[in-house]
Amino acid sequence: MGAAVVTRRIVVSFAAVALMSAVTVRPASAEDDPFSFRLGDAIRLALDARMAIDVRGSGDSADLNTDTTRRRIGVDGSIGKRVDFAIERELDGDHPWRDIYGDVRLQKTLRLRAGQFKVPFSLEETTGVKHLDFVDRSLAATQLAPGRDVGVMVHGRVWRKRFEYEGGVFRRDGDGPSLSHPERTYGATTTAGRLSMEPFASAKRSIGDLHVAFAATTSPLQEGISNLRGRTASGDRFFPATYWAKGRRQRTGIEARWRPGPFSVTAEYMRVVDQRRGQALDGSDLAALTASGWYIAGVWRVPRALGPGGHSRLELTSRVERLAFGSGGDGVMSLNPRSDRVVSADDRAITLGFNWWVTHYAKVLVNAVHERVQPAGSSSSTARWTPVFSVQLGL
Amino acid sequence: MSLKRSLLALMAVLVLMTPVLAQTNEQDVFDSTQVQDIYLQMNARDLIDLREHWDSNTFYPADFTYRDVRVRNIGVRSRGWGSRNGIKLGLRIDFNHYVSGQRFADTAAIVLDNLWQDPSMVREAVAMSFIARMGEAASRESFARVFINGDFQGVYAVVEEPNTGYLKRRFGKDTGALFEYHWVRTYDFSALGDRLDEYELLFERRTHESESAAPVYEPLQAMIDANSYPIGTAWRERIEAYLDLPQMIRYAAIEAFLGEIDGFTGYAGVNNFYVYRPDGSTRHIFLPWDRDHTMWQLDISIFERVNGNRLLYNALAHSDLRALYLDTIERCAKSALEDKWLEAQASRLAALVDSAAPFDTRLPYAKEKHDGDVANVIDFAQRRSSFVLKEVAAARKTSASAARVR
Repeated sequence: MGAAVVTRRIVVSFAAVALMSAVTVRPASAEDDPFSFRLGDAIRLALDARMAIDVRGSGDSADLNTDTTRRRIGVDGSIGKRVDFAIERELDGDHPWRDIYGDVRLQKTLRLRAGQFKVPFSLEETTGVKHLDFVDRSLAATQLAPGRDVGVMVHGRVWRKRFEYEGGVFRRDGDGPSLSHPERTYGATTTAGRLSMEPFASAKRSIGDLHVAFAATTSPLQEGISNLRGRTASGDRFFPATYWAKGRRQRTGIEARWRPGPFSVTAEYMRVVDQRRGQALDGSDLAALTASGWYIAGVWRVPRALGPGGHSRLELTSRVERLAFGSGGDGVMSLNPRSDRVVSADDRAITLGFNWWVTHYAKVLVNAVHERVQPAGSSSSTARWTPVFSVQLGL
Repeated sequence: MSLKRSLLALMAVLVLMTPVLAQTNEQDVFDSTQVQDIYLQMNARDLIDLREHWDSNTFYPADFTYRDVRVRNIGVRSRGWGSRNGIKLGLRIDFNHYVSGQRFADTAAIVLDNLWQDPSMVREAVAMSFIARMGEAASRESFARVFINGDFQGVYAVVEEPNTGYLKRRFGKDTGALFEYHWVRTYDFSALGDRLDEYELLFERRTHESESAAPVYEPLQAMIDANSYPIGTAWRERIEAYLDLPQMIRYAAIEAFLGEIDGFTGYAGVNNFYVYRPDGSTRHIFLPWDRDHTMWQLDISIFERVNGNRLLYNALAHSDLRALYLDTIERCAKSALEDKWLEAQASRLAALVDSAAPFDTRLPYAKEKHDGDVANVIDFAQRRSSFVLKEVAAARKTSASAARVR
């Protein structure tokens, strides 16, 4: 993309941010939200709309790619005291519908959600884009966590809200059949559960904020090429979808978050195991294909507000992460789709950046991502920096 | 030394020698004095897919076993042009498809030729062995019973594909530029213009694949461009910079002796060859490929369709090159006659194939046709020399300007 086009888009982004800053101020409370309405006493509606303009480096090239992303509109709200709902849709894309669900309170500690929504796995994946601290989610959350799917889930909080449980059944694990790669397999009917704890919730010190959770999913895998694959932050493929799989796909994850004062620390580890039953040349089982990833992210919210009105804030961010692929097994590591021992690959990344909340409705994120990538089948690793810049607008 | 001590010493030597004696010589897979056995292990689903999609070039993983050597993580795919079918699969075995640098018998790939189009089943092997006898580069060949997942698939010709192992064995170095010619349309070495993609279409590079195209293809382009010069001194000077002319003449002459109809002077343009340019040189040489269209017609002229190859046609207009052409054909004729070598080779290989297994009923020809065609090949081997020697003698009498080319 030409430098003039990139410059023009950046200028347009800043103009949009300036406009949003000028016309809006953050409401004092949700009740004062100018985009929230009440229809009588029973129905509350809150409108949502957002978009982002991302500018990022493109691998080894000096070119910058700009992309208008996350163009979404939605509405969420409640009907009476027992029913909540959410509807969100992309303005373009092949699968425009995102959240479409209703959530009913059956008892004080038991709620039932049905429709299309996020499978309860991974703190970062289930965090809305508005609350993300980086332009992109971590490599692990993006590539290993399931996405949205149609399902039914029970959830609730127990023991003075120290424990939250979520358990549901979903049509798939977020990935459907691929038109361009019909040979690829994906997790079919998925059972997922997550148990979250705030074990020190009653403590008055900052430790009371500590959140810890364990999550797991399990899905049957039809025979096919596993859709597990690795891409770098700049989108280059470093582990191909090559290997035959059949049996079950199992995910396990652990997450933690602690927000002492202006700091917050978030960490996750997740692992996906695809069984390869009957996939050897002689029809016997192969060692399971594994993908694992983790990250530790830290954010410091600069206590002092910027500019007049006190609504403009600055955050400094950093993240260390890794995403790796491989298997057990014997013999030579190979890209042979039926190899017992698959070629290993990994991507280690460090992200440094800052976020500027211009207003409650406009945010500028600047990230620099350093990756050291060991691609599958390559004897040497590569390292590079990728700059990423994003202007995000939202109600 | 006592008898007991001598026996102990002998036993010790035998024990020490056992691993050496038992070790499989991978090169034996190309031993054409006996029928080899090759076993492929494939996943059952992949084998069904390979049979259903025999017209595709998709690779499937397999293990390759020869004697006690098992080569894992190889790639297998369907191959062939007219011989490609789903009944008796023609197979290409890539030892390094999934494991970089993996070799067997010093080669990265072999072809399991299904012998679909040659009822005699021996033309390819006889021709390649004769080319090697004449001192030119040729693929090693043998015959093998091929089994997939334990099921007998038939008798195949095992053919060494020109690749880096082949180059190293033949030339001592494998660092040059190797191209496989692909028949796309009738072509006669006319100029292809300035666009390198025209060359890439016809001449697929089999080495230096990851390099930029220009330095790899430019000398080949220059060779073909040089062929556009008017016949004479200018043509000779230009072409000799890019082509080993004597080698090309010998290559064409051996083909002509063998009566090849789908090769350098093929019925549909040039076909079935590789081009190689040694490292540090700009001069190219030709390597033979797929010789199952030889020895079909006893009285085919040694100048048959020479005008369908502008490179050869222009070369034969030069008296010294024409003389080399005739001399080489004469040498072929005498070599074939020497101890009835060609006849003996054809008879021996035909007997070997017949001894390998009961006749393969999946082939598109019956046993009677096979036997009759073997007789044709042997007849060719017996009488071809006499025919071409007369034609060579006649050609020598003709003036260079009148000699040629129908």
